[in-house]
Amino acid sequence: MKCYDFELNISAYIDGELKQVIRQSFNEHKENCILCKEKLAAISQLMDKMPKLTPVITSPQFINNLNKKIQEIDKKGPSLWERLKQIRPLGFEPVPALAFALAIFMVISASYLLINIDGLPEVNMQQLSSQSQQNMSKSFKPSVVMPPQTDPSIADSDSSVKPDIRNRYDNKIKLTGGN
Amino acid sequence: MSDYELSDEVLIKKFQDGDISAYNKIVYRYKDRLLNFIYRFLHDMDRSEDLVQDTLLKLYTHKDSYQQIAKFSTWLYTIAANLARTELRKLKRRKTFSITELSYDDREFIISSSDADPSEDHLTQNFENNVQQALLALPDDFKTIIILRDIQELSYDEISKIVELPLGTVKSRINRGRVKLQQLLKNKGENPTE
Repeated sequence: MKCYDFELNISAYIDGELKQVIRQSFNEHKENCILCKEKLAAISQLMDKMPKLTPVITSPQFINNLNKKIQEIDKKGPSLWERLKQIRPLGFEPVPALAFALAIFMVISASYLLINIDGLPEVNMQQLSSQSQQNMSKSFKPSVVMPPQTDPSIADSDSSVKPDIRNRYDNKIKLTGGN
Repeated sequence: MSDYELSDEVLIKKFQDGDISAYNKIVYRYKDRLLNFIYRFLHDMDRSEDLVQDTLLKLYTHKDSYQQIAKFSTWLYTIAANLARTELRKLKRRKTFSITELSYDDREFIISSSDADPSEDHLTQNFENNVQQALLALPDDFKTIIILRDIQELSYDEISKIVELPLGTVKSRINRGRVKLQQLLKNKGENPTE
């Protein structure tokens, strides 16, 4: 056993809680290491003396002062919490009762919010149709879809083909015909 | 069976049922024990008395929080330990009290013990002062456990419940706390074996 292990086992040794094997090793180290032996003796003595330290006692006014404080508490009466405890709202202790009330409140709030999100707005169809007609007459501008501008000289005017590629192949095309 | 012999658990049950005399008996039974615990923690008699009163007031106002499943003394010590730790944190924050000032370099309390009483049961004032200062210099985690175990002589199991730590951790901290305490005392020139 090393000094470190010896130190770890001092209290267990004094309390008689060490197993036989460790106790034997502990005793061997104690006989061979003066410092550890002294440490064990010092701690053992300290433990013996600590409970014998002169006890302190409360002052003669202690009970009077305590009684005064108790009277003040009694004058004030029980706190709101204490009263809640006595009332036992909904038959529960205050904490579960509050938790229960909070849970109900949260369920109601959540369902109210969900209804508002999912619900459709009310629509006045007549008003809506007259409004849309007015808007149509004011702002209707027919849109003209213009065809893409292409070079009419090129037979294949596919605009999706890049011009340089098109030129490259067009130059190589030779039109052949009959006599 | 006289009332004085009634167990703590019986007394608190009586108090919960409205018997104020049972509360008074608990107060008389615990006021000095709690003071010894808190005083070792803070080393300030006035503050310690205030905290003992706060503990007993909490018992008065929160009597229904105690349930018979736990040992009464464990429950009461838990309240006292929490109050003491909170107070110590406040004191540290206000910097009106510095533990570091009382640690290694503070040797003003080391005086010649030529007039020491060699009796085993009567410890010298010098030794008591040194132990008290060494306790104050211990980290809070160790201090609570050491006071509960070595001064209040509570069981490991009770301490484990009070500080809400596993039994193994409590035992380990007690051992390390004792080693640290012995080291601090050694640094102060104190040797318990002498």
